[in-house]
Amino acid sequence: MTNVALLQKGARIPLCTANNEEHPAANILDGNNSTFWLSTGLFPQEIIISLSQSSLVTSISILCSHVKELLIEKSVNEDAGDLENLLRSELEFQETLQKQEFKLSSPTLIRHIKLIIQSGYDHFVSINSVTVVTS
Amino acid sequence: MVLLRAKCILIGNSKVGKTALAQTFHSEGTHFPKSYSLTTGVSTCVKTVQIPDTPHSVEMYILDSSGNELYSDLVVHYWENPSMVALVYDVTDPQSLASCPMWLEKVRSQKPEIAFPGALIANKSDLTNRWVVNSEEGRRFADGKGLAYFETSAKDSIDVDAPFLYLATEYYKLYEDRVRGLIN
Ligand SMILES: Nc1nc2c(ncn2[C@@H]2O[C@H](COP(=O)(O)OP(=O)(O)O)[C@@H](O)[C@H]2O)c(=O)[nH]1
Ligand SMILES: [Mg+2]
Repeated sequence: MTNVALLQKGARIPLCTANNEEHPAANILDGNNSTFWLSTGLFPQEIIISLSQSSLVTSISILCSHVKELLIEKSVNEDAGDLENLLRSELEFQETLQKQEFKLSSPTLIRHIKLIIQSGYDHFVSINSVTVVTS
Repeated sequence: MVLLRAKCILIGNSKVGKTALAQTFHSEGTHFPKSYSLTTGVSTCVKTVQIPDTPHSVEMYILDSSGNELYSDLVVHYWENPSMVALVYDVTDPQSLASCPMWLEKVRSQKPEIAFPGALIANKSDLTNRWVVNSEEGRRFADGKGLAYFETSAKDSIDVDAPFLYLATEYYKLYEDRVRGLIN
């Protein structure tokens, strides 16, 4: 049970549709739940998280705010090509942070995940952390 | 420095001066390419507005819908996830103010759970002898709907920037509130 979506484990964010200098996407992978990436307006928003290597993933958790429709895609390709749907969820509104865990039905080989936030409960959505758990 | 992005829906009856306002606002200062969709009649112009007394700015995507397309369902797709609304009427045409509640409802119904900044623009203020809708009426309607009221002349380039600057500033305040909420 280890989280591999951490900067210190070599995870990176090669793509993010909202480049926020004050609250950058790297904050999602810093292991600190109080730092966050904040979108800068408009939907959809997309973020790719690349793990340091392909891993067998058992669950993915997200700590975020004001996210409504969320889509997660995965890729096993080195270059994050051939993305496939992994899951889709409509998160419930929360005044504070939303916490959601997605258990995968079976361990799944993943190199990259792409988070697509299609809509929100506010103009701006935050992601405080993403946890990718391997068996 | 933060660059926010906003979708600004420019709406109101045909001939009130929406396209003229968008063009006048757009052509002052920096130029950006303008795109036009033949199928929906929606044209988008992009302009970056600096928030006064801050290093921050808002890139506004202003969606101007032309003529009859306004009444089609196709255009509604373009209004998804609006960030702000600029509602325009013509001070020489009372019917154009009477239509405003309907336009506002159309945009707000896109995103009923989110409050977004709105401006009411009384355009063609230069036609001094032909004013039929007075400032008082416009202001009262705006107050009732939580909109800020502006008088402009797209023709003479008078105060055209003011409503857009207001919308950008209000949007920036919403962003600041979010940051504050997340930090505490
Ligand atoms: N006098 C005057 N005419 C205007 C003004 N703004 C627009 N017009 C004229 O009103 C007509 C309709 O303008 P347009 O921008 O096409 O309206 P739209 O249908 O709402 O986009 C045109 O003939 C414009 O030249 C204004 O501020 N003053
Ligand atoms: Mg027009």
